[in-house]
Amino acid sequence: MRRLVLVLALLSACTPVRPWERERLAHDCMRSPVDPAQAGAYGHVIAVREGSIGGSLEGGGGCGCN
Amino acid sequence: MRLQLTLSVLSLCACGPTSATSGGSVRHFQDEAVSVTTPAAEGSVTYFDELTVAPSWKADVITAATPTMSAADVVSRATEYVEVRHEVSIAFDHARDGDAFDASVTLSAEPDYLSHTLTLGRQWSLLAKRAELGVRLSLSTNSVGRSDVSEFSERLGVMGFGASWSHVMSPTLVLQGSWGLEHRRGYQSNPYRYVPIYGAGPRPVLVLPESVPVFRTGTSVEGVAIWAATASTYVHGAVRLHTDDWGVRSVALRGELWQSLGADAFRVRLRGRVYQQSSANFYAPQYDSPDGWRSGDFRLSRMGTVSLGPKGEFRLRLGSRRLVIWAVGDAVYFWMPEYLVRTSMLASYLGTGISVDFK
Repeated sequence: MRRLVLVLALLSACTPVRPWERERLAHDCMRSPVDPAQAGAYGHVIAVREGSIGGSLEGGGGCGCN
Repeated sequence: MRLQLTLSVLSLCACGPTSATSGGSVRHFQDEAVSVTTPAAEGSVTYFDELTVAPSWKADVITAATPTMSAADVVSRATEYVEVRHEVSIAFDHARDGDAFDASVTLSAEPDYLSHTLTLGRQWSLLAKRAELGVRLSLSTNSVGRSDVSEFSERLGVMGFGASWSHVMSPTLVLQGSWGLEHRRGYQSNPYRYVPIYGAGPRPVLVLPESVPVFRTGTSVEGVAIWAATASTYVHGAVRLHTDDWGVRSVALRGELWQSLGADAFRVRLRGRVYQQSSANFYAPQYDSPDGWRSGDFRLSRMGTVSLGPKGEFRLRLGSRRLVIWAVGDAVYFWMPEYLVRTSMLASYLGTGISVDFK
């Protein structure tokens, strides 16, 4: 709990961002992934050829890759 | 109840959407064993600037060959097959003042595999829109069959939970952290995969179906940094760590460089990724005994991948419409030193698509 408070305190102490400073933040390249649909398609292709699970939250699906 | 639902749908349609998107794409993945071509179509309609409904469809046309075993006495001939998987999905998203709720249902069907997936997500905007907290739940049921054995039927359930935190650190830096947990219960082998048993000698004495544990639970954490280096250059860096109770531990590093040109009419992206994992604790390059778990899946061996590729996007504004045309290509190198069939392979990923936004 003490660590959580410390982390929140550190985060809130970051540089203040005023509304007129949000121009770059509003650009869609400041999201990750930038295009969720395309990133999901590529992520699926790669994920089914690697051994890790979890995180992607993709359900099942055979797609000939099992 | 039915009347209320009908009236709600009719009133929604009568109001008319405030914006919409539609698009189509085709992607192609090719490695030394499998070729997958994926046409896709998707659209979305937004009502009152708050509620978005997004149906989509895609198909995987898979051409592949069952792998030739390196032990010539076991399975010496690769068998080619072509299979088509269809996937339809509908997603709903309701967003207001930065807070959002989303839900989606996905149905995936192919001759020997049927999958239903439900996802639910919730996002909250916090700290005067400097931070966003998200949680996500995913449930999936799967029926696994064999196209050549009609009596073969197995089940697999997958449950996932995730949480994420995104924080604006400065006018040019955003940090994101996420955690995910996935639990699988049921049949997780490949019904077509067989594993040679060698006994004490140099040649296999019998071949048995693959057999892996029924339960698997994995967890992962990911950290992402997004930096606006200039007004037109954006850099993404990410690291993901994963571990599970089969003994697979992995680390993945990912980077993206986005460059916007010509008042954002053209964008170029270069991305790269490095991935490495340990083997599952029951995986062995060859098995001497028929007892215990056994797998011939290279994804459960010690392996890694490196991928690198560019993407280009044309973004044209035509009145109230925006047209986006994109093309992407990646090269992927796999290495799996403990896998007898092959210890490395090259793959390519190509795609192109178009989308239109209507306001």
